[in-house]
Amino acid sequence: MEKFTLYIDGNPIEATKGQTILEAALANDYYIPHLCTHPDLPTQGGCNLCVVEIEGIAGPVRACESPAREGIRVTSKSESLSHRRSVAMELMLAGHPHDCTSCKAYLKCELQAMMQYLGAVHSRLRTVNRQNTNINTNNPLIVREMERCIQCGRCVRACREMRGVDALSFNKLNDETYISTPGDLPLADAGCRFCGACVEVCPTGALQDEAGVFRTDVPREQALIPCQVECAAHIDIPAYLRFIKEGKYSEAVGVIREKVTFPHALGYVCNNLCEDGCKRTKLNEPISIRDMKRFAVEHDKEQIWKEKYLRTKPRTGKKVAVVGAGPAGLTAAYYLNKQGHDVTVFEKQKIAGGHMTGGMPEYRIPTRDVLAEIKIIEESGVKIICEHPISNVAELKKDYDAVVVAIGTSIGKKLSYLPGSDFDHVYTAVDLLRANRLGLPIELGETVNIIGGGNVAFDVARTLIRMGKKVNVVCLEKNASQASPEEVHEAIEEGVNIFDCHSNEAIVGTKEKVTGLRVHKINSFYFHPETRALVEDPVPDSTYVIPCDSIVFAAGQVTGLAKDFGLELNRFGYPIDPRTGKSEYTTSVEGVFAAGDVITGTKFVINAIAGGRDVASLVDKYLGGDGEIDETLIERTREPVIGRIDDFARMPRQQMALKSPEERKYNFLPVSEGLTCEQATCEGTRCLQCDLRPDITRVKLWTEYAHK
Amino acid sequence: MRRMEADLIVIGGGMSGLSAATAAAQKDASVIVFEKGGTVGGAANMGMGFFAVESKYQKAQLVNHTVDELFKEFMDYTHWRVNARLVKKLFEQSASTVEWIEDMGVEFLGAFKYFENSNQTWHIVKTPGSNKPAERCASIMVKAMKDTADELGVDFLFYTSVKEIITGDKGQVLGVRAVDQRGEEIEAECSAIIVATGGFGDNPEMIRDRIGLTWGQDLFSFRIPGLKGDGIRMVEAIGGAIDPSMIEVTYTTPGVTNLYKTISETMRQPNLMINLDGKRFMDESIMNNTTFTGNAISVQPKRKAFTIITDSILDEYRAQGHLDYITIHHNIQNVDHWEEQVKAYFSGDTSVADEGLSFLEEDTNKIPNQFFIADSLEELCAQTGINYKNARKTIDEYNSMAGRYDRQFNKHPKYMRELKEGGKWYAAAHYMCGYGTLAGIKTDDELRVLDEDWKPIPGLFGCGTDVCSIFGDSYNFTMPGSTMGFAINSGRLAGMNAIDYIDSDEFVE
Repeated sequence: MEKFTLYIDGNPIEATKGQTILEAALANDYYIPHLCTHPDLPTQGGCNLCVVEIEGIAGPVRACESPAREGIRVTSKSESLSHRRSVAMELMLAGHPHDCTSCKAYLKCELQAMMQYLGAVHSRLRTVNRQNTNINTNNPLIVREMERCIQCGRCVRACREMRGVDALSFNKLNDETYISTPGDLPLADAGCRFCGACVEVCPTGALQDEAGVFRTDVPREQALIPCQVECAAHIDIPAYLRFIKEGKYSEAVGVIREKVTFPHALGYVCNNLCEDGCKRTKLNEPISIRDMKRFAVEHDKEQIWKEKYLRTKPRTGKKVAVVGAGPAGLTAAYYLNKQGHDVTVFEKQKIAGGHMTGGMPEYRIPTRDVLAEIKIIEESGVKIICEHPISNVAELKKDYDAVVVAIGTSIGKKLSYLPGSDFDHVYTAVDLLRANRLGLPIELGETVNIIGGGNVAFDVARTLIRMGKKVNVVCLEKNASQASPEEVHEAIEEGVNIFDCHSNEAIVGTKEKVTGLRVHKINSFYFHPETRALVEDPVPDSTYVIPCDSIVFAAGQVTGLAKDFGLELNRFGYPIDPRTGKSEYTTSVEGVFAAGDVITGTKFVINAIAGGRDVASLVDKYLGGDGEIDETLIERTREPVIGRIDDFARMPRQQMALKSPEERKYNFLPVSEGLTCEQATCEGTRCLQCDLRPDITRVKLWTEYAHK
Repeated sequence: MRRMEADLIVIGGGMSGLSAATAAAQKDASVIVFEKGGTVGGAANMGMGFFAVESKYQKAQLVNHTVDELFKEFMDYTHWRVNARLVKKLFEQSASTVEWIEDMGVEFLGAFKYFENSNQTWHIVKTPGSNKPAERCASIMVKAMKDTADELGVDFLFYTSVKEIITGDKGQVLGVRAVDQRGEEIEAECSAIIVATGGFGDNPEMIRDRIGLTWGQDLFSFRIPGLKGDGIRMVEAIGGAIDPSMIEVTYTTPGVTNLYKTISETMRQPNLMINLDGKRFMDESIMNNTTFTGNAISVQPKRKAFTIITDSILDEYRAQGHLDYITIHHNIQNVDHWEEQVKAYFSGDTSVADEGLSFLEEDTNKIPNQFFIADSLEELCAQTGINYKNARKTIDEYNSMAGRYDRQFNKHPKYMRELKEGGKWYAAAHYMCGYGTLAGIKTDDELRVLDEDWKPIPGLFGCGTDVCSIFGDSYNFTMPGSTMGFAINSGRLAGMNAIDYIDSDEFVE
């Protein structure tokens, strides 16, 4: 690249051939005022603020349009230039509202900063009452307060040049120019892809993001990608959706595997908070992010990520024991092995997987798929020993440099105050599901009453239906509102009876033979904010018995940890770090760490994996490593030009086809075959690609330049 | 993680933080300023000037206020329930602060009043090429101060939020943790910290919890983006004492004030004002003191009130050629645009409005009409919810005193304009408004932040609206420029004091 020197206000400025005077100045940290110029956009030359004088050339020129040439002498500061800039500025201010305090761009507004810089705070010109500011102001996601527009045209250029969408235009009406869409169509009809580039480059508050789309409590560049922010493990979701769209399924899995160890399991059961964040929700419906994950794994033939995934750092000679082979424990084990430590996982059940293979129904998350993912962790070098319960962590600590306790919440809770809860045929959800998954014997009879109305209650109910039982779910909440509506709907389809607004009185029968559940109806209830006790408004004389042969409690789970395990516990049985009194990754014993449900209470697989990653980083540091577990498995770039897609805004969300109740209720196969290739491509296309926006260069205000 | 180090860290680059950083750097200290936004000056960018007494401008203009007189007036106004030592220091410093700013290359237009009966303490910044007071002209001063700070080597970090203050085992401050907009964490060490984050005007939860007002219901204050109460929360988290905060009260007609200025200014003339019970409650000529008016409204049912006029009063203004009250700020002289704006208001057309008030256009903040038009008083009362029977009685009584002695509140006869039948009736609802919050972090007169035992937290100082408790329960409207005056003078003092502390025997390592 040819380099040369020019002089601005007597200062030598290094320039490269092809640069304009403005570009050269700004690259040298030398400020020349400008508004319509944006580093990522072609020059327009409209605002007239960057005017400069060049020795030997008559009259001022725009620095944004004048090529930098060797040896030229440029003046950027003079009284006449200041005057020209003031006039240009006042022309813009004449039609701009005065009361910046009500503008969301306050202190981030380039126009406001320009007022400071130029000292042109008001217009001496007649106030211009613009007529066309009300056009096209009712759109999703993008708020257009066009009275604040200074017509710099950055948005038009961004949409056309940067994105190739070309949905915005300069229009004219009643002799007044304004910015809208061709034909003043609503953005959705004008081909807008709602990428937000126009908002990002807007120098004022004229274009804004709809309030509430982006979180304000996380750093802005992260907040701009809401799905990734909401994901507990912060998977690069837009990247893998893009790969799926391109048919690069193995690359997609690689991206997912950068952050999580169980993509397939998550593709089945993740609680997909990412979809709650999805910006597309404000347009029509979120992307089916979770189902896309499952799709990617099931279509990943090459596993191109695997070689790098299995590669580990040089061995450190340090030994780590992990207690519990659930998602938290196995994730910690995988990363600690990768960091070079020798890891052994101890599991008390006969197969690894924790809740994924024991605590959730087979039809939601098939054992073989979970085991396949565990096998990859074993291939990487982790040793898993099943049917090996650990009763004392201090004992274990003697043989290992560090221990991670990740035993989860594997013990089901019974409501022991309910008379009859100690009868023989009274079980917990964990008992029932584990027996079903691991093929353990359990005596249930014909009819089973389930106490509880959350998602776990419906897991149990639908498992029992598949076991050929008659099933009643008895719960306090109207319409079993603690569980997801789809879950309730599908369960009813499969034949589950729901007794909502019911409160339990006692289990009826004898210790050897349960005959029913005595209940009464309630109008309403709440839990006392302090004592947490149930306070209900019963329906008078509504007591009756729902007959059954056995009872299953779906009333939550506990760690089952006792004092002799060797860790300090709180009154609910969760280990705590005595320095803070809270359940944390660190415990009361040095070198013993904890992660997953055992410190968070029963949560979701994604939370367990995120916890496993965090604790691995912490343990690695404890063992002398750098704790740096982030790895790029798939190199990728983002193409900023996204082009037009007709009717993009209305593309409907693709749903996995659900098997009919008859097809699904007699077996434990997944209730859906997953998305089709066509559907997955469509979902990939529907993505708004929020990750493109942080790539747009942030404009530096005068405040950040060294020379100004 | 990025590590930094300086003698002094200033949290917030608004007027007070900027003053503090500059004053400290002038004492050869190294200073880092953390600012969440992209530019400096904070709320001061909206202002025009600041309070000073015995300045060279006042002397030149033969304004004979003295520090002693205004100090006494100020303390009488606050019933001595504020830190008199601090007030005195700020007043004594104020004249030199004008010259301090001038030395940075700023010119002033002179000392101004805000309304008829106010003191002439408002030093308005001159705009290049103009000899008229201009809205937002204080941003010119902001630029000059930033340039001065830059020359002195102050390091500004923009788009960067401080998350917490780090303290040592003796309670002394050691540094801060911050995060930039990419998410990169910054740990900065220092010997002293000045908290200058500007209160919590943009935090409705804190306003509800700490002041007891519900934004969007009985309060429609400015919400300058970013004023989330960061400073108060961070100081609280390390054991700093927190004083009650207050709203810097004014009054407003949401969706009208600043948007339809002719309607707004006409409905803010000293005509009849009544509450929902249909009763008068103040001498309306006080309405040019927005603090007093906001206070009076705050004790009415539902914290709202209405001004009522008739076409006959509009005719009187047309005949007179100008309104009774014309504010420097809005400068609406007459009712020329009345018809046009009334029509636009009811058609929802904002294109003829003078300004956009964006936050009121959001769905969550949308409020029903607050300006009413009717053919009779009865209809007007039906629309507004005012008690008609009482309103009728009030207006009959008011009309009987028109142009004469106001037996109830002694308003000047020239403002006792009769509400005549035969034309339209108009009402505007007025609610509490405010520029933001004041006070919170407890300091002593050296602007050292105190803990619960009234002991200074070593190395921690505060300035600006986060700590501004000198107004007591009400902003002192009779000494215009006081809030910016406090910001700039408290910042300047805090900056100097922080560096003196670092160099003193009291410094806690």
